[in-house]
Amino acid sequence: MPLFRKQYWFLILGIALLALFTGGGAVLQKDWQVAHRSHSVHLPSIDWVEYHARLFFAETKRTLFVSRKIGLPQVRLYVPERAQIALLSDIPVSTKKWRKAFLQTIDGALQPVKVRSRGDNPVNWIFGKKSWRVKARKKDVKDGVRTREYVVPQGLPWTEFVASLQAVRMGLLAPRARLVELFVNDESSGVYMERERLDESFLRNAGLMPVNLYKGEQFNLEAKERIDGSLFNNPGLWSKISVFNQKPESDFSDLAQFIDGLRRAEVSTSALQQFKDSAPIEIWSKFAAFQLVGGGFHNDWIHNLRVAIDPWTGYSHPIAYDVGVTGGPYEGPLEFSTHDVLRLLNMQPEFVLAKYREIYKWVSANGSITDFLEELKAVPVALRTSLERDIHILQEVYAYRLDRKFLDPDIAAQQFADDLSSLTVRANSLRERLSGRPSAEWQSSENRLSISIDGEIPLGGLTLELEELENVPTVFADLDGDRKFGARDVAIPSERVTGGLRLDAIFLADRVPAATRLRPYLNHRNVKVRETKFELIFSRRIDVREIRAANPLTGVNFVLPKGEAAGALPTRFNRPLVSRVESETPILWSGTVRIRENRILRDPVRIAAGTRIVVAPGASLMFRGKLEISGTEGEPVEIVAQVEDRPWGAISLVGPGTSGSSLKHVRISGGSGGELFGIRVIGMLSIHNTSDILLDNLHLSGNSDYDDMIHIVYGTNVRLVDCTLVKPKADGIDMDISKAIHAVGLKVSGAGNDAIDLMSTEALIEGSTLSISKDKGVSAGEKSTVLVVNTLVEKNAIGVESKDGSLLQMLHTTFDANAVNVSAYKKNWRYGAGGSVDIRKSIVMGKGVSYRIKKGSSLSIYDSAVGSELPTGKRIVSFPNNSIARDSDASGLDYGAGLSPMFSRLRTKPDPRIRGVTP
Amino acid sequence: MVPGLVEAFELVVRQARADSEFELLKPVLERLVEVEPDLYLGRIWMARTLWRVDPAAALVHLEKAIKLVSADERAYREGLEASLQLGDMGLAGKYCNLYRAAQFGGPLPRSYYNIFRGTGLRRLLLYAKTRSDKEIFVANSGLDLDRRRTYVFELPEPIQLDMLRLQLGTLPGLRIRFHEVLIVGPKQRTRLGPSDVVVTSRTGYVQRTSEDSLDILSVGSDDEELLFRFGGDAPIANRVAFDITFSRLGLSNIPACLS
Repeated sequence: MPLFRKQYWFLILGIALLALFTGGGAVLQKDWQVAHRSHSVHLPSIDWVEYHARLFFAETKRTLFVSRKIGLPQVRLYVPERAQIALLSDIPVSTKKWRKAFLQTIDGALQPVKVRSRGDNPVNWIFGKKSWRVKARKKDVKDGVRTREYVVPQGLPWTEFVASLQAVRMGLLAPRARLVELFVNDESSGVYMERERLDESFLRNAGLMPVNLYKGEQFNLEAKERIDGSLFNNPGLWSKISVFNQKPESDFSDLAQFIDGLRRAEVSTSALQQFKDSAPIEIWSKFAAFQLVGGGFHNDWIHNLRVAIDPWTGYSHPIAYDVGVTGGPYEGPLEFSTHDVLRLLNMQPEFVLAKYREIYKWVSANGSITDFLEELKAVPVALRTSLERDIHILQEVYAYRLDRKFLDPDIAAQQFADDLSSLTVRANSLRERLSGRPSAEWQSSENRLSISIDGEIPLGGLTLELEELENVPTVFADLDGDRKFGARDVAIPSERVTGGLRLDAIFLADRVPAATRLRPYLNHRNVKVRETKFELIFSRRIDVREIRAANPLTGVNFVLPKGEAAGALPTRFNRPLVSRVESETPILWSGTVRIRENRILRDPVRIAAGTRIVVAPGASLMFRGKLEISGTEGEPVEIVAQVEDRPWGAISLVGPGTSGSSLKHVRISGGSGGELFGIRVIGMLSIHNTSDILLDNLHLSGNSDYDDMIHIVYGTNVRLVDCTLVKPKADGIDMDISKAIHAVGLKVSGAGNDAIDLMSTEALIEGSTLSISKDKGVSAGEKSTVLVVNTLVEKNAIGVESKDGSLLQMLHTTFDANAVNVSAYKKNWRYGAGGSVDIRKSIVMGKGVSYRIKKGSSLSIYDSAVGSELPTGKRIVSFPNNSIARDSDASGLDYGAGLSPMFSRLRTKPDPRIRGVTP
Repeated sequence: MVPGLVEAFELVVRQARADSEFELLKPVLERLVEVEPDLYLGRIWMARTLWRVDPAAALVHLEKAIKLVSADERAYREGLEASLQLGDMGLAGKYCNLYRAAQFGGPLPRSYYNIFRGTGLRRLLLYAKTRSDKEIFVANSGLDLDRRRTYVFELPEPIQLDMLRLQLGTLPGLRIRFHEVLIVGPKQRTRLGPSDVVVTSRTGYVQRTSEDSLDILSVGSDDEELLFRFGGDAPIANRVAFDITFSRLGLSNIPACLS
């Protein structure tokens, strides 16, 4: 009998054909899923058979030989198979649906979480290693982060992590990230970057108010069909990933205003000034510097743009997102602009100089890069261990054509070190480039000096050796070429120094938007340096013997050569940069001043005693320079409504330029709030993003429409002395994300909501009276720290309240006739805790509820008169030195442990022998 | 798949004229809008189908289309029809006012790129050639409607200009009112008014409105090109500044819609 009958051959052939068709079908299905289920996705063709065969081999090898030693921090996720199947059941839609899963905590417990795939590109979910988004329960929030992302790399798994960390170290907004090894159902999925999700929590953790956070993607699945893709030309291409809760989600007006301002800035000087207010140089120059020193140019005109727009400062904040470390020598243009915002800014000399300074700070001999690289020095060892288990790095070979050599963990780990070295190479190349001598020359005749400059490096430290130096001449840069000092021209500060006349100005060559190739990306990428001639005109004839100059980045001096001094007149954006000079004659207001429409004042303003400012309905005043109001007790300054019962807008001090302002003896009434020049103003008197402000003897009353009588946001060192607020419409003083606030002798009565409302603020309140509020006397929320001393809190609905990780310490306070004296609870899950109230040497009286302390919160009472009975409960610590009776004699002289450090800043030290308000 | 689908729809919708044809299109367009809610063309087509029978419903689609691409005139044309069908002249005027001021975004052709990829109401470009035949492209992205503005083009090096070639990545229905151009060189400034230049255009029609200005009515749906020829010696320039007022032509003879 033959061993192989014909029937057997048929059987084998049949099985082989079946396997072929089944396998072929699976390959076709996978390819269909990758390339044809979503539009606008780009992946190369993939040999699925080879990929799966190699993966199988690698998996077998890992099972048999690879150690279980811990490398990178491990994250263990447990996703039921059913959930994994469901996620891929109807791609791409199904990948976005949350499924139940578990995450192992540090102590080994399994915490319920929700998971879904992340990303639109199929590479995020079609291979063995998948991108995950993991959302914890609100009560399990840690470090203020609820949703974390585990991102499949595009290439090697650390490039984005290194760049993200670099962005953070350079002071940019970027999601916090770390390298981890992710295990799904106890099987290593390999090395991932774990990062916090960009959402409201991200903003709060970054010290920003919950504002609009925009996502700009005109790419992959998110590309909108048949629309020009330039993101900074169309707010319709953006979506919101965090919403400013005082406006509807559908409101994109802030972004629209930003984009419109960008366009108009190109042809209008006033629009340019306003645009610079909204795209602050100190923020955007860091971003541009980051791109050059290693962040790469991934955040471009059609994708990877994330921008927060803060209506409290008017600032836009670019966020370093989806970045990738880019090292090696840099030979491209320093003004390479990945989108229209950077293109416009790169034409501004102050931006270019600020960017170069940021770069230089990073790359100079002892620059920040040294610490950054030191921080990452230990990573390769742990990375090597985890990479050994990372069989899925294989998919990068197929999806991104990663070199196969990186499948070897030794080579891959070495590449991490090499990538860091390549950052050093880049830093060196930039340092060398910026350390050079400026390409410039001069020519002089009569009372004119021509300075021509070409190339990237700025020119500064000009010292002119003159024949005659007795009379120091005045100098201006004649930018319009008319040889007369006009509005566009710039006065150059000059001073006599040893060896000549020093001009305090920095000159940069023009940056012009020009290209020698039409495509690609003409509209934003090409900003070229042009030889530029600055004509300086002196108030008298000058005979120049020699000029010494310097590279302002390095400070290295050299003799400026004399030559033809050719070049074009500076563009309308270019001018010599002089250090800010306070106007010698600020705007002076006295008598009666009528404000008929919204006004923004950039120059310093002084307002004399007795001035009466009459404001038309709806009109507002925004000060961006220093404001000094010098009212006196006998002659206060008044700011009043032009028409009774028709409120005007607001008085606002906005931005660092207002630092040092003082308002003394001012009576303000009849205002409301408003929205002007892209900034939302909700206090009749609003103080935004500034420091060192004095409000002395202010009397405010009769505000309407908007919430607050005084609103302080992003304020530092704001002092309120003897201010009186009568019947605020809602909050008396609302303070958000501010520090070193000090109120003395404050009187707030009849507030429609809280007398004082604090969010993430550190404040000291002493010698004050907070009464008859319809809600709280003091409301401390969102991790505020408040010390209240020597203050009467009476007849409020709630005396004081602490929430969400806040600490409210009350010393020498008398609580009286409040419906509830003390309240503490957890309101906002993002802060992960309730509030704490700490009462010392105080008197808590009244017929209402004394204490309402809810879960997660606490109350401590020390040496106080505590009401009709001693408070008890597991959330309350009542020290034995408390008493029931209204006994104003303290039981001892000490204040107990843990006294707020703000105690040392009190203007008047209280008497420790007394409880409650001391005389 | 979507790009091809959109192209097929475009082919069909652009030919529809009769109410019965729009009636036939309605269910498939509804499905298209359901599947691709961010497809602004779908919204415009849907509105075109609806305004005869349900103008209020058409407005909902137009709101979305305008949010996606505010500069595209097609949404306002449909909005005007829907408003007039509703007998709401105020609304019609509102659409015209929106149209005249809207500058965000613009369409992108399916199968090719325009000079700035897509078109819109923002980008201008001056094209010049050096003596060594090197081509220079200088951009200005600040087109501003209804205001007389100076659009400056800074050349990276001095270039002898025998004519000026201004490229515009603009939309149809644009009035370009030319007042003058200033050519600034290292040694001289040349100011040229409407009488000093011969203006030609790729798609526009030229109209002399006054001694001081010249109107070019641009009607092409792709890029526009304006050529300014002038007599005398070709000046050497490192800056060219056009003094121009751009405005959109009216969509109707309703007072609010007349430009």
